Amino acid sequence: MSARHRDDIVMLMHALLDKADDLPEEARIRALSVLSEHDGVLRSEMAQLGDEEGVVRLDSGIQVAPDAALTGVGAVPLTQGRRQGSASTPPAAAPVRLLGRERLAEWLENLIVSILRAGVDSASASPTVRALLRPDPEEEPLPASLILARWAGRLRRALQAHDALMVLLLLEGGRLAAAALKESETNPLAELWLGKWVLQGRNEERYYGRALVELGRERVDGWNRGALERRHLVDPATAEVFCEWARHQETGLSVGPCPRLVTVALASAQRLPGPTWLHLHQYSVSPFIESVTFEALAAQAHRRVDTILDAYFEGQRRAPGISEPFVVFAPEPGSSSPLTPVGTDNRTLPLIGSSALWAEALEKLWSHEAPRLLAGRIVLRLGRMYLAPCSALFGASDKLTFSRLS
Amino acid sequence: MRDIEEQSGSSDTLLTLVAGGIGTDEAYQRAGAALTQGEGPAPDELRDERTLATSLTARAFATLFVRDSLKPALEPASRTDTHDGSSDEASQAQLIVRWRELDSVDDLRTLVAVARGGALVERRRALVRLGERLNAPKEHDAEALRHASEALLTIGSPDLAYERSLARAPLPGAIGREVRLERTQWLEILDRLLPKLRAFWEGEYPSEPLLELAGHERAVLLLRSRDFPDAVIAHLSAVIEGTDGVSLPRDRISLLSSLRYAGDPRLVPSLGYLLADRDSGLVIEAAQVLSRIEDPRVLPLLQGAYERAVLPGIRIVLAGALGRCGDRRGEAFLMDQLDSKEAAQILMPLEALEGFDRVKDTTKIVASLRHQDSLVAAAAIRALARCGDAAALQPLRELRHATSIAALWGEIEDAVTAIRARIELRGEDTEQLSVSESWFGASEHPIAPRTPIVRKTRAWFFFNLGCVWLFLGAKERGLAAMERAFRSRESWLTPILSAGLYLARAGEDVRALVAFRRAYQVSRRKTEASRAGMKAIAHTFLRRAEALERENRAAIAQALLEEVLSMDLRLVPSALRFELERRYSSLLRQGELSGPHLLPKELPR
Repeated sequence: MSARHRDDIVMLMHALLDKADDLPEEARIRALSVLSEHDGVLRSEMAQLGDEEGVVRLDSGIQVAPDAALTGVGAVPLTQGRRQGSASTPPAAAPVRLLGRERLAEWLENLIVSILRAGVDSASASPTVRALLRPDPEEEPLPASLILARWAGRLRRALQAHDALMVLLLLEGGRLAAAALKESETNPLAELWLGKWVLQGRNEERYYGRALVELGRERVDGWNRGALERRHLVDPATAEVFCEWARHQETGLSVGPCPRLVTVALASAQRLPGPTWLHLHQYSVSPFIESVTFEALAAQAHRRVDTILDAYFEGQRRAPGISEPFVVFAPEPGSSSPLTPVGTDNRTLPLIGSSALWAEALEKLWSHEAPRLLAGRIVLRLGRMYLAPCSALFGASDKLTFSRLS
Repeated sequence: MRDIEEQSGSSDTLLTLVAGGIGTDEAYQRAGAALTQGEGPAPDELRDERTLATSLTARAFATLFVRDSLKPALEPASRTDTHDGSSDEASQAQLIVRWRELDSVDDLRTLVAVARGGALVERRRALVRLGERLNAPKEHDAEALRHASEALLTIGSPDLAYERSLARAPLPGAIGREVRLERTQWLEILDRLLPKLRAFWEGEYPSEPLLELAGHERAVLLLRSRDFPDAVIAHLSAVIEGTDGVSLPRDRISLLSSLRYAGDPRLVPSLGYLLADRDSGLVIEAAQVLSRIEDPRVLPLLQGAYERAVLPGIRIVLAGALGRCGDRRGEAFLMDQLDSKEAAQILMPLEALEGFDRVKDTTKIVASLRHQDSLVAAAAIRALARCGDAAALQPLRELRHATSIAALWGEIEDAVTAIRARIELRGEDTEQLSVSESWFGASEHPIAPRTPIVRKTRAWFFFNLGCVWLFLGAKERGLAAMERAFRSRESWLTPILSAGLYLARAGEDVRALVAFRRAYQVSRRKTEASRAGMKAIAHTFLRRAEALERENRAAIAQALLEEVLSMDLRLVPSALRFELERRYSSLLRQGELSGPHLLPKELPR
C-alpha cells in the first residue's frame, strides 16, 4: 500500500473517531474496519485506537474478493486466507450435528459402564466399547463437539495402551459431563460437551494488536485417526498459550506455516478448561521471525519441572479428560541426554513420541546439539509424565534455529 | 500408618477393579464393598450397574489421581509399537554401517564404485567423500584421479545432484566453474524471490511466487533447498500443506513434484502431514519426496502410511519409498504387480523398484526389458541398475543390440556401470564376466566422403563470415552464411549447430528447433556428444513445450517432450533433465493424452 493511501485512510479514521467522541463510555469505539480499493485491488484495513487518545494505528489486513461484505467490526467475514472462493476451499468435511443432551449423557454413561464391565485391560477388544467409540459417519453424522471428538480419540488410544490411569482420568471427565448434561442444558460444562460453547461464542474475549508465535502444529485423534488439527500459539510478551483447532481440512483455521508470527488485528478467545480457544478474524502472518521474538519466548519459558507438573495436575482436577496443556520449557544446558531434559529443580521431563523408532530418531537428530527450548504437550502415560514435543529451538542469540518436529 | 495401609490397599483394589473389570459377580461384589467404605452411595443404590460404575469412577479417580502419584518419568518412553520390523531394521542397520564406514575410506576407486553401485544414502556420502579426497590430489595417482574425475562428470542422477555439485565445486577448470556459475544463478533466483515472499505474506503480492517461476528456474532453485533460509522452508511448508490460502491442490502437487530431489529434512513434518491426506496425488508426491530425505523420522512415517494404505497406487509408491529407505516389506507386493502385461499397470511398480538396492529375484524385471513400451523398458533398466544383479548383464546386452532408441542406450550403459560397480563392491572379478566392452564401438553412421580441400576451405570461409556477422548483430546475414557453410561441406555439424545455439540464445525457439533437428539428422552421435549443444537443445525444447502448453496445445507439447526425452541426455544438467521428465509426467497426468507411451522406433541416421 502506498504511503498516500495509508494517509488517506488514517485521515478518514480520525474524522470518524472524532465524531464518535459523543458516544457514552459503555459504547466506546475501539476499532474500525475499512474496505478500500486501491489500484483495482480491494483491501480490508483495521484501524484501532492506540495508547494515546486519538492516535490511530493502522494494521494491514487481508486482500479480499470483490463481493466480500462487511458484517461488523473487523468482520470481513472470517476470510479463510487471502481470497474467498473456490481457490482456497478445502474438501468438504464429514457432516456434523448437535447431539441432544440427554442422548449424550446416556451415551457417556453407557460407555463408562461398558468399559468398567470389561476392564481397561480388555475393553479395547470389547465389541460394545468399539461400537460406541467409533460411530459410522456413513450412517449418521458425527457429533459436532470437538471436545467430545477429542475425548473419544484419547479414550480409544488409552484403551489400546491399557493405560488404566489415563482411562480413569477420561472416564471421570465423561462422568462429570454426564452429570452436568442431566442437570441442565445451560450448565457451562454441558454446553461445552454439546459443542454449544464454541458455536455460540460463550465467554468470548476480544483481542486487538497482539503478536503471537505459533510453536506447535499437530494432528490429533478425534473420532478418526488424525481427524483434528491444532495449532498452539504463544504470546512472547506474556507467555499465554492459545489454541486454534478444527476438524482437519475444514474451514475455521487461519493461513500460514509453522512457525509463523501472527499479528492480531482482531481475534476472539474463549476461556475453556485447557488452552484458551482462539479464533483469528483479522490478522497478518509472516514466516520471517526475528531472533528477538524467540529470545522473548525463551525468557518466559518454564524452567522448573515441578511447576509444570503442578499446573498439569491442577488442570486435570479442574477439567479431567479435557485439559491438554501446552508448555514452553527451557531445560538446563548440559542435560545427560537430549531426550531427558532437566529443569532447574534437577528433575527430568523426558520426551515421548508417536512410534517405536521415534526416540531413536530424535536422539540422532539432536546428537550434535541439545535444544535450548522445547514446546509441546504434557502427556500422562502409564502414570508417568512426559513432554510430547512439537518443536525445538537451538542455538545462541545471534543464530537461533527453529526446528519443527511433527 | 494404618490409614496409609488402608488407603494403599484401597488404591490397589480400585486399580485392580478398573483394570480387570467388574463384569463378574465376584468383581461386582468387591466393587460394591470398596465403594461402601467411608462416604459413598448406599448399598441399595449400587445394585444399579450404572450407579456403581459412575461411583467407582469417581472414587477411583479421587483415590488414584493424586499429586504425589504423578511423577515425571526417568527415562524416555520405551517401545510401544507392535510392528515387527526386525528384518527391515537389520537391513537398515546394514545400510547405516556401510554408510558410516565411508567416512574413513580414502581409496578413490572404492568411492567411485559406491557412488555408482550403492544405495542412495551411500552414493550421496560417497560423492561428498570423493570431493573431499579430490581436494588432496597429491595423495592419489593420476589414473585414479582421472577415473574419479570422470565419474563425477558422468554420474548424472538427479538424486545425487546436490552432492555432486558439492563435490565438483572446488575442482579447478571448467567443471568447477560450471558448478560455481550454477550456484551464482541459484543465489540470483533466491535474491529475487525473497522480497516476493515477504510481499506475499504481507498481502502485497497476489499469487504464490514459487509457482510463477519458469520451470527450469524452479528446478534449479529447489534442488538446492537444503541451503534455503528457514523462512523459505516455512513458506514451502505452508504451500504444500495448503495453508498459504491461494494454492490449489494441483499447484501443491506440482510444487511437491519439483521438490522430489530436494532432500531437506526441514520438510519432514509437512510431508508427514500430507501422508494422511485424502488426495492420493498429494500422498504419492509426498512419499516420493520423503523417501529421499535422510532423516530418522522418515522411516516410521512411511511405515505407518504403508500399513494404513488401501489404494494400490498409493501402496505401490509407498512400497518403493520404503525400499529406498531400506525397508523391503513391500517387495513381494511390487513383484506381484509385474504379472500384468499392460504398460500402465507395470510402469509404477517398476519405478518403485528403482528404490530397492537389492531384490530376491529379478526375473520379472528382466522380462519387462522387452516390453514394447520404451518407458517400461527404461524403468526396468533403472530398476536392474539399482538391484546390482550380475545376471541382468546379458539381457541388457541383448537389449542394447536389439533397440535403436538412444535414450535406452544411455540407460543401459549407466545400468551396466552400476552393476559392475556393485560386483566390484562384492569383491567379484568383473574381467571374468563375458561382457564385451565394445558395445558402443560399432559405427552408427557411414563415414562421410572426403571433401575436396577447396570445398573445405570455402565452408570454413563462410562459417567464419557467419560468426562475424552474428557478432556484429546482423542476424539474417550471419545465418545465411552459416547455411552456405553447411551446404558447402556435407556432414559438417558445426555451422548448423552454431546457428541453433545462436537462435536459442536469441530466444527464437522455433527456428532453433529447426536448426537442432537438422543437426541431429546430420550426426546424432556428434550432437549428443556436444555438452553445450545438448544443453541448448533441452532448454529450447522445454521452453517451446511450455509455450505450447500456455496456448492449450498440449498434444504438440507432449510430442516435443517425447522427442527430446528420446535423446541421450546424459550431458544435460540434472535440473533440466528432471524438469523435462516432470513436465512430461504432468501432461500425462492431466489426462489429455492417454495410452502407452510411443517413442519412434527408428531414429534418423
